[in-house]
Amino acid sequence: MDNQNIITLDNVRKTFRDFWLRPTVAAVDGLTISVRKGEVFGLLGPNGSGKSTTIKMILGLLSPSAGEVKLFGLSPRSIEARRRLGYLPELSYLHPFLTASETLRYYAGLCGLSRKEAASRTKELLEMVGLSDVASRSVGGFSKGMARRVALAASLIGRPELLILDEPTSGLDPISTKEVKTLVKALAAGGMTVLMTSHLLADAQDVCDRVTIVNHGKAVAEGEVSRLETSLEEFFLAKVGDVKDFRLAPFLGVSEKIR
Amino acid sequence: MLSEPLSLLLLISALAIEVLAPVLHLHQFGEAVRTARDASFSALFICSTAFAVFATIRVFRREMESGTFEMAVAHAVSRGGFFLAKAAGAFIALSIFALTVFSTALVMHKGAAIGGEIAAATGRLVRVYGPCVAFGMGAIVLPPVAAAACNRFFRCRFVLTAFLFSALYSLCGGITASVISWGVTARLFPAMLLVLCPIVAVLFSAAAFSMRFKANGAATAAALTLALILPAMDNYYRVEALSRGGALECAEVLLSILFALPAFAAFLLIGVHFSMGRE
Amino acid sequence: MKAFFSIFRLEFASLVRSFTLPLLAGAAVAWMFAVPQVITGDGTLDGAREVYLRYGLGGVFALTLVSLLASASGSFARERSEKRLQLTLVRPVRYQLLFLAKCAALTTAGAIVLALACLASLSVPGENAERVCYHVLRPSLPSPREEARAMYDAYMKDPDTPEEVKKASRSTVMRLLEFRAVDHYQTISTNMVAVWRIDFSSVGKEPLSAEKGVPPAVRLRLSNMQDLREDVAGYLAIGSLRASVSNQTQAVLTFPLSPSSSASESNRNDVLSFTNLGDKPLMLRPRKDVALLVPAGVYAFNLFRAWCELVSMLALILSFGLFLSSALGRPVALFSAIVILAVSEASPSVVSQYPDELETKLSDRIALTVTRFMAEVTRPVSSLNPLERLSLDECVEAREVCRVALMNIFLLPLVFAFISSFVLPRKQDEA
Repeated sequence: MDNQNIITLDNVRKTFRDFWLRPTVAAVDGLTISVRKGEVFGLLGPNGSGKSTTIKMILGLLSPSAGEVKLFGLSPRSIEARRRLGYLPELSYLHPFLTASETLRYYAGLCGLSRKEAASRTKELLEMVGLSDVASRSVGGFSKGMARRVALAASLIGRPELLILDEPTSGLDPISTKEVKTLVKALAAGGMTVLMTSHLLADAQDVCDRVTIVNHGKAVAEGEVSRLETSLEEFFLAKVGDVKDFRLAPFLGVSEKIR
Repeated sequence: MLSEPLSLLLLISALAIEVLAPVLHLHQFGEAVRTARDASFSALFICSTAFAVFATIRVFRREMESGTFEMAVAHAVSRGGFFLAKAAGAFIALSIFALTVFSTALVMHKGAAIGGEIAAATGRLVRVYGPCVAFGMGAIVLPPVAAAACNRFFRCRFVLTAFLFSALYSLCGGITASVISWGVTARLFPAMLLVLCPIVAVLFSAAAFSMRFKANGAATAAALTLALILPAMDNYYRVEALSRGGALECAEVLLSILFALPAFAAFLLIGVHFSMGRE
Repeated sequence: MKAFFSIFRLEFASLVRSFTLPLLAGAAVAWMFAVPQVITGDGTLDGAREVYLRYGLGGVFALTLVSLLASASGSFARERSEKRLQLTLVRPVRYQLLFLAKCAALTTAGAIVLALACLASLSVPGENAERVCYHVLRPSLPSPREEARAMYDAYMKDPDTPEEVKKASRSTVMRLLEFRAVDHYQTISTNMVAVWRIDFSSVGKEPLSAEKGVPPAVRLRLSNMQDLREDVAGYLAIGSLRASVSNQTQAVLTFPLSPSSSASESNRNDVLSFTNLGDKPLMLRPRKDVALLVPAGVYAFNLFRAWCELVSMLALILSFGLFLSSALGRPVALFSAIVILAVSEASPSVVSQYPDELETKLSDRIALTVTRFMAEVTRPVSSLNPLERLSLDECVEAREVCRVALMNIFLLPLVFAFISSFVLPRKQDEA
């Protein structure tokens, strides 16, 4: 393993195929990324650009059609790589009949933590995400924001070296969003490597050290956020393309001139 | 409902029971017509009931769980109206399913009858009644193959295309068998209606309870409905009368349908009530 | 192992909190108490017992099996469609372990329901936990296959053997001869003695002693050339034990053996003999119609062993449902599991009813080959029938329980787990 690189994607392609093995979508098309130890790396791109597919390949949930994905220098499906990984999906996907603390203890068990350790970390993390008061309530009755916090805590239960966050602030109110951003910065300062995707470019600008912008499965730009001369949003729009106006006139039944 | 893989599996199973049971058992009993009829109505009953319960619950529950129900009723659509429209759709899907199975039954029954005549004429037991069995085997094999080809070359959806091809193929066969001899259809069609009466009630109950309960609860409620309504309607025993060579009286069938109508209405009302009260 | 127990707890909690397990347990106990009121036997106490065990415990087993199979067939499929499975797959858990933990939780739930039903069965009047059951020892004979092999050459050279049989393959003829060997009749002429050696190696030290005052016995079914009912007379002897036989042909009868002072010197402890004192020759099939019944402990332990066998059957079927679930969507997996289960249940009886492979019709030959294959593949489940043994007071042998438990609870689910571990991540690829 490269001493510095936690994640390495080397000319990775992912083409989804139908039953007859004909290519249907080329979701990722020759993507090369490396994420260094201790940095907060942002994977940005418009909807359908291949971010989620890339993340799933990094997690070992999808296998690349070509190229190579390495996690800690290992195959993403190896137990050793998965032991050092935390993952927060775009939606929380919790077991609705478990309570918040049972959810965390369940994931602690999957990470191989002892009962005592699991209990103490569960308590710590629930306090950290502000859910200590509702620890014994079923998560099925939680709001989207609360469920998001439980999922975030679950992703941290194994004290991972690498945290992969898919849209971490989606569904959170502004205060919670700020708290998550502060948490990510604190985790990175503690030596954790973070890979995140986000649609909210302002959030990415606040948190990320380095970003790669993907569009149509290809990396169109890469760079350190601190060295950008413009805002990340302007940089993004310049690389991905301008905003297209909806053609509202025919829909509204009025003349284009009114605009 | 017709796009569900389970629907196609059930349809192929029903056709396989219809076609293979007489072929494999004919030489054991020598009662070709009866075997064909028993196999057909068993297949119709078992597979249509499974279709009515599982496919309906799946489709209705998915509507609830994916939030598309809320999206639909957020528009100018009443909740009750939405439920009734979906229940009507499910009823039409069941009708297509049942007609497909029934059409093949007509062909197999006709083939069995022809086989019986040959047996009587030559004094030799006829085990395979050629063209009709070939048609039945075709009903199992050809539509999926054609659908696979359509999927390969025109990117059509496999399950739906296979289902529709199967329906079309079987209906053509059924109509041909009827044109050759309307007698077979006239004898068996009332029996099909009798078999379908409780199944439609089960369909509406599955739809109604899906609006309130999760899949397992709705399936249990539908099973209870079946257990209650089936002996009450006594229809299968009347279908059994066919095996004694009798015909079903139209009045009997109409009476059964009249008896079933309040059950249909009750379940539809329950469904409307559940959909109105859904939060 | 911590991961295993975490997944086990989660799966078990989901069964409890979705009310599947409490409802099943309640229904099982209620059914066990309701059966005697709902279903009546043939008026005899034994008939009532048989009906109670077959319909009571059998009904609970069927209900548990179908309910848990529905859960098993939906387990991975539902988690996959709800995207929760990916959260488990990215954790440091072996996929085999995930499979086995789910299987263990479902089996445990089934075991609890069956245990409650068994306990309920003991509390119903008429069921006696102290009732003695028997080891069933058949005469030591060459296996049907060995007998068929010995018969093969002579049979093929016999001018009476049909030509179409002579043209058939060796394996087909062997199968035919094996079926015949099982039903091979032995004739016992008037005043002749038939002897059969009994192998006691599977039983304890003093197999011929009484237990709780219940002596060993012999189960016998005698017939004649005409398959008619006729009087029979004679006696059975083994070692110093003896029993008089006086009844009719065609009936399955049990004769308790009692100590006799007139035991002849030829009566060895491992040889069962029957002397025909009637005036007509008698016939019996040694592989089917004679059995020495040796006391083998009380009913409660037998019930426990039967429970173990039922649980092992459940474990195997549920692991198969889980395996299907790892590769297919929920309805398709459930449908496939039920169809395969139905075929596996039906195939042994079809095979036994249609032993003759010399069918000239291609469709019959194909159907028989497929059915025989299914019967062979599903033998780990279909060959077990603990409830029938319970109702006949036959011992569910501990050795057999260990064998099927090893096979059905450990080895075969492990095989399914390994195959699933390849399927699970690849199926995720399609999701």
